[in-house]
Amino acid sequence: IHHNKERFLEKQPNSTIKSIHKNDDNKNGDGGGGATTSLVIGQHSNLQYSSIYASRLEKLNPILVENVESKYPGIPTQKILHMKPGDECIMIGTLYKEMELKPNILKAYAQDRAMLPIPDNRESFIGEKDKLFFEDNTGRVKLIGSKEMVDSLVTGLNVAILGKGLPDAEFEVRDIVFPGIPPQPHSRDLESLKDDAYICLISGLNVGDANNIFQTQLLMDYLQGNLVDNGSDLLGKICKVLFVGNSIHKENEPIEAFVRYSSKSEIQAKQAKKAIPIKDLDGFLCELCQTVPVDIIPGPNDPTNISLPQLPLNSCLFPFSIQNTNLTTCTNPYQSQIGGRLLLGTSGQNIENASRYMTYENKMSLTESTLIWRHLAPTAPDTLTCAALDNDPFVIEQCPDIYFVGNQDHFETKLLKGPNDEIVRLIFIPNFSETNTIILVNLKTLDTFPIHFNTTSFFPQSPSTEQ
Amino acid sequence: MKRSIVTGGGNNDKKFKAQPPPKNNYRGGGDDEEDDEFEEDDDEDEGDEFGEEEDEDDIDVENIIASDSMDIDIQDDGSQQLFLWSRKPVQDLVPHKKPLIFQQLEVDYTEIKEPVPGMPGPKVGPLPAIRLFGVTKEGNSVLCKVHGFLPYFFISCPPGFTEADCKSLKHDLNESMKMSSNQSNEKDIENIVVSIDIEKKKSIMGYNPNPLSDFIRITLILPKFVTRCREIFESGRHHFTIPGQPFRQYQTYESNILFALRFLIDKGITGCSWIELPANTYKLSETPVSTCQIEVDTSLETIISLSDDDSPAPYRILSFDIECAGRKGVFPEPEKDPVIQISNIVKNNGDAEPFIKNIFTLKGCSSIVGAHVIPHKREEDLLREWRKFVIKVDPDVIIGYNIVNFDIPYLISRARQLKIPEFALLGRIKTTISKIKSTRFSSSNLGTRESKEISMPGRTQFDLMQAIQRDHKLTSYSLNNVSAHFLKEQKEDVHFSIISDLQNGTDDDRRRLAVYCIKDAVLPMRLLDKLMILINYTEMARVTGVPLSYLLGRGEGIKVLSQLYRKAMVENFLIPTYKVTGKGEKFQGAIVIEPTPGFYDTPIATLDFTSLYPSIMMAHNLCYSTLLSAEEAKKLPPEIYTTTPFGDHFIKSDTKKGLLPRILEELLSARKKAKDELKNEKDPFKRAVLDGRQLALKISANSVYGFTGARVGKLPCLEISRSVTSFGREMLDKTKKIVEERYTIANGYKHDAVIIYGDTDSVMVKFGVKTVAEAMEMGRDAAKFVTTTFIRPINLDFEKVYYPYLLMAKKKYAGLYWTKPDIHDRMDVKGLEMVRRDTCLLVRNVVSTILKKILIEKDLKSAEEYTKSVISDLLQNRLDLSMLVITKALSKTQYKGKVIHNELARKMRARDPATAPNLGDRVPYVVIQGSKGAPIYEKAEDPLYALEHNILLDCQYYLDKQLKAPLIRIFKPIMSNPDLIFHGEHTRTIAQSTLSDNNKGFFGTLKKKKVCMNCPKELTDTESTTCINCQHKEASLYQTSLEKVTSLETKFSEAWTQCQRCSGSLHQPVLCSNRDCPIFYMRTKVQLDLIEAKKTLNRFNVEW
Repeated sequence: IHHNKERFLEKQPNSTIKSIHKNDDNKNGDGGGGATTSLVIGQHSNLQYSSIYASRLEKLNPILVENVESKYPGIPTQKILHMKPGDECIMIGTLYKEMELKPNILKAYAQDRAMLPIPDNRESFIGEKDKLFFEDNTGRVKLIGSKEMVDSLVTGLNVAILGKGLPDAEFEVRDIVFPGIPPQPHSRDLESLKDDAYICLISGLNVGDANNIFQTQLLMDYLQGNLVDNGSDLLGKICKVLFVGNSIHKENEPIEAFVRYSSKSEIQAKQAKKAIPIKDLDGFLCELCQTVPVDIIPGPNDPTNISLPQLPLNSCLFPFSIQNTNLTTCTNPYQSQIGGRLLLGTSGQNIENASRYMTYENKMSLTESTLIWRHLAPTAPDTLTCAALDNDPFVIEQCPDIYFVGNQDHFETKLLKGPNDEIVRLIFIPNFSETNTIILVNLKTLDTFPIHFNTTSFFPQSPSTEQ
Repeated sequence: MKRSIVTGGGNNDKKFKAQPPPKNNYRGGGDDEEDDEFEEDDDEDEGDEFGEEEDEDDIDVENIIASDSMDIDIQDDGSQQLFLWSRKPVQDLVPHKKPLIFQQLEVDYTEIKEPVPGMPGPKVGPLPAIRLFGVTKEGNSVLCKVHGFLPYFFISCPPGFTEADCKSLKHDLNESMKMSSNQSNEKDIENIVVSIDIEKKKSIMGYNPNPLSDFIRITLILPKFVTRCREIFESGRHHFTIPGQPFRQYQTYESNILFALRFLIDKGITGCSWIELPANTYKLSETPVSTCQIEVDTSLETIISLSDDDSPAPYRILSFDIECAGRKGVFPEPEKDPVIQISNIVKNNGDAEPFIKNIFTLKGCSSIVGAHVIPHKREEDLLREWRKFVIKVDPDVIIGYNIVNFDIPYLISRARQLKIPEFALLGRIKTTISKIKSTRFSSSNLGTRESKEISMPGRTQFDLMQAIQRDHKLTSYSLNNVSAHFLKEQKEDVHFSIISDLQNGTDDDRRRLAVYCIKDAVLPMRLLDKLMILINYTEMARVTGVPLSYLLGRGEGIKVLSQLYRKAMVENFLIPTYKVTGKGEKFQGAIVIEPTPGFYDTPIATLDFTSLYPSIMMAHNLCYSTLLSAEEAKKLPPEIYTTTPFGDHFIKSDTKKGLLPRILEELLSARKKAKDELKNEKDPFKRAVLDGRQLALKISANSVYGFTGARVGKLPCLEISRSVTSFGREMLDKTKKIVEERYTIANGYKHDAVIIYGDTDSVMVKFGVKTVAEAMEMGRDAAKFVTTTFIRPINLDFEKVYYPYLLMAKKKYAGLYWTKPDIHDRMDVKGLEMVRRDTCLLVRNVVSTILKKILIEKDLKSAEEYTKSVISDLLQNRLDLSMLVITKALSKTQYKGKVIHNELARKMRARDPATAPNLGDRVPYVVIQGSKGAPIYEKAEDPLYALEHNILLDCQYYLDKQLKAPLIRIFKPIMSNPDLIFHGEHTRTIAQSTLSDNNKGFFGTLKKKKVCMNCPKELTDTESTTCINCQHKEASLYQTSLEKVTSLETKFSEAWTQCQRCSGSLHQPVLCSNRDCPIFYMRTKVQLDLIEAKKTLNRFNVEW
């Protein structure tokens, strides 16, 4: 295999994914400054979030029209505005879920100096009085349906609804139609893949955490082939290492730190402390990149912007490793094509945020749902910070072969078979610093398995037994 | 004719200084509801009070529009819609078999040309007829015309005047009245004076042990003659003599009461009561003059008031709002700017949901789910159709926000401009056009208010804005703020300058506007329900006996007067009509026991006199009818009268019980009864009624004192009011003495009790005990003991314990409020910036946080740390702008001297007239850095402008002029040197204005050179962030920029998603310009800051 510098993008010039993962001819991966500005803050200063919803609906509307025409032929499709009470019809639009428990800046704002961030400690926003609304560009109706229905959906989804209009801006729902899993492209590259090839997925490396130095060193030794004993050729077949979020340790600041007065020297000391883990990571990557290509995707704790899409970690943070062309800093969400496989993944914010809106069987089924919704992060911007863009970059227009989510508490995987023979490998990447686990994925077969670093078996002379 | 009040522009001064309430002349100390100073506009004397409507114009109108044309007009348009709007048809009305029972809401009177056959009263017209408008239980509207009631008043009977002289007096007076008339149509009236009688009565003024004596009762044909007739007796100008008497002036009695109210009083009918017309005592009007479903004539004699029934009828409430398309920069004027939308919500009282929700629009409008959109091509049609709608819906009550001063007058003026004469026929009388009249009333409690009054017979106008201004103290009375405060939701606000743009846009744009407009009609309805305003006002009308519409449109005095008349009538007392002068000596107000400032970390018990002023009046029998002059007192044995601390004399109650004490007793016992019933009542609606009643009773009881002290009132009696306050002072002193003498170590208590503060009706006692429970115990004991030393019903009550308690100064304190020994109820703060409205949010929030830290957490150190961090944030310009916005209302165009907000308004007008504040708007401003020594008004700036142009605020001003004084006040009792908080390391870094991209200033024309982010060195073309020497710092600089970006990103998304939620749409951009919203400035600032911060961040991305 050739180490894949050819981006999926270059082959799909019309793809809107362009805005997620830019062409990275310059190897620090963040392209020209102008492009970045438009990516994150949009073109105008008065840009608001309405445009992202409009863009989302515009992209998914044709698909929904097609879906309802085949599922419910003959039933008229109606705009909210023209809906007549009592008539059965289909409408296409955006869901909005009203929940009292959502963080509310107005409530938080009246406090103190309005400097504190809203405490983000609710596991779930679900409450008794949650209401589901449905909106198209002509109006908004309240959806009448079971509590189960309300609890199974999230804000921001584009759907078609079948049901009956009621007076007083209400709509009784009989069925909800989703866009469904997007089409999966077929790649020639995949056919040329004769041998097994692996990618290695690592999330939550957490360099700089004092408790973590040992595993990190083990990982490095492993990836460099220093630990493998009996000629396993697995390592030689790793064609790419992906770091999926939270590679750098971040000290949690207590909330009091915001309201306390800090002197200049205190601030400087804090800054110096923050710089240490980044230097460590630079050293780590510098060493690793000598053996294998690395893509690094930022996560919620990493030093880049916080709103989605997160920008690639800046090259100035890695003055040494960045000089090796093997290192690519990437956006979150991430998309690329390696060995003919289409990879899509995030550092986990989208799934974590959506999970607060709904009851779900397990997180894997929720992740599966995002494919059926054809949307990576429907709850952005409502409760998930995202940039005010003219174009919604989170719409999944092509079904990936590998769909991974970082920063999970355990490893889990599933091979999803779609209705049109789409095959998707879903992967939860566990947090490395807590589970000592990395994931290997065979690009040829999509087989996926974890490698667990058991400190005692890999390194018998562990410090604890030494004494 | 408005003589009573300050002249010219001074009125406005008064109006706005009136908040917080100005020092009251009678009781410098008082701060509860009692301190009304009734300055009713005395041009009522000139016919205002009788001229509620129905003057000659009505007859003119009748000529223009045939009275039937209106009916036909509407009946022709018998569409489905109009049918749906109508009331249910009347069922079984059989006048000779069944009684007619209805709840009356509006009472007025009219002149009728000819008497109705079979009714009492003179047999030739014109005559007055009382009109009662109301609703039956079934929801049918009723007009009941009561015949036979005539206006009358009294004069004292000169000695020697007998029954025999009545006839000649009648003749002479009649002639005199005719002579003084200058209107031709009055000449036709044969008998202006209907009758002269002698009745046994007594004046209410002064104690009078003598039996009833003779008074002459003069009955006239029409209410409009009363004032003139009174003048004939009162003034020497007319040289009128009573036959057989020498020439003199006469004191008149009861000659200045509203005719309709007089009727209610005489018949024992209270406001909003149920009325029964027994079977066979009424008949359907042959030629109905109203649009009511049932119109009947009945006699004065047979009408019955059902005062026991307190259930509300299902009356119809219409809430509406209009939108006008103004021109740029000018507030809409009815002469020029069209009405483009009118939204309506109609609900039956008692129903949970409205049954009509619609909007009349000019030009097409996309439909709105849940509301009926009725588009019109021409504005004339819009107005005509809306009026038809109102007549068809036939609302009993019309509500809205600021409708009395804006919406209704605007509509009427606009219709006049468009030559739609029939539009103003909005009332229930087919021929009476609604007219606009400017009125003004003032009281020390409410300030001087100019307002409009619109006559609309049969429909009660109830302006929520007026009601809320009366009953609640808020920072702003905009609908935004009021609904944020009471309904806990922010409302989207469309600035009037963009309304025209929306109107001239597409159907969807107009729909956008229509949605706002509907919301503005929905909110008043929701406020009405939430605050139970109608229930409370209905109860107030019942308790005080005045019609509902008097409660908002008139002062407090009318309520007391109504009760006084009712009581006086039973006792044969007459109330003299005084010419009020508005002058009167001042006397000392309520006392304050000088506070001993400090931080009390021991429980402080608070003892309160319950209903202090009413109970003093009852205990000492203070009344008009018990007042003795000094000479009279000398003649009487001292044990039968009381001499008040001020030196006035009142007879004691065992000799003669006063009228006011009896009114008060009834009010207070009725209140006790209502409260007892409230305890047992489960039904929420009945509970609301009872609670409204007890509140109305309390307010009424408290307003009696104010009535006697109102110099420009109907019956001022300073002897009473100054006696009340002097008793209050004495009682406070006495309480202090007793408590401090009794609870001493010498008497076996553990500590010596000290009164640390006392105000008007409460004293704060430090018993020295350690626990709240002990303090409560002793507080109860002390209250009980002290009460025994006073005359009943004066009652000292233990109410609460403050622990800890921070006493700063007179009327300025804070403490945790305990009514149960185990847990405190809340933090109570009086007189501090936290509860005041004229400071910026920062001060309020900081004061509140500090008090929490001191009182609840009891952590002085952290309060201090916290204060330092705020100061440092302030000085480094890290605070959110909305924290620093100060707001003042622009109340007039001309101010003496340069006033900050007026100067700013002028500056803003020069900049862009479209968005500049107008008269009546509130002007928000921030103080920006200016040249040294520049006056403050030059440094005030529009917050948005300051934001957009990145102008630095004058943080030193905020620190020194806003924050410092309140903080020092709090810390002073606690720390030895509070000034230290304002000095030290945290105050050294001060933000200075820099040449940012946005701040062009003088140097705007210079080309900006890129400079190293770490040092002042200029960058070469290949460098983008730092110079070569500072490159090792690049990562750290990047981190700093990042932190800024991430926090801005979070804020941006929190703010703008909240705005989307508020505006109820994901797909439409947020238009809101609600400056009262706490995040309004923040969200704009965060937009700008984010771009700036990201630009900086981007410099790191250039390849090096």
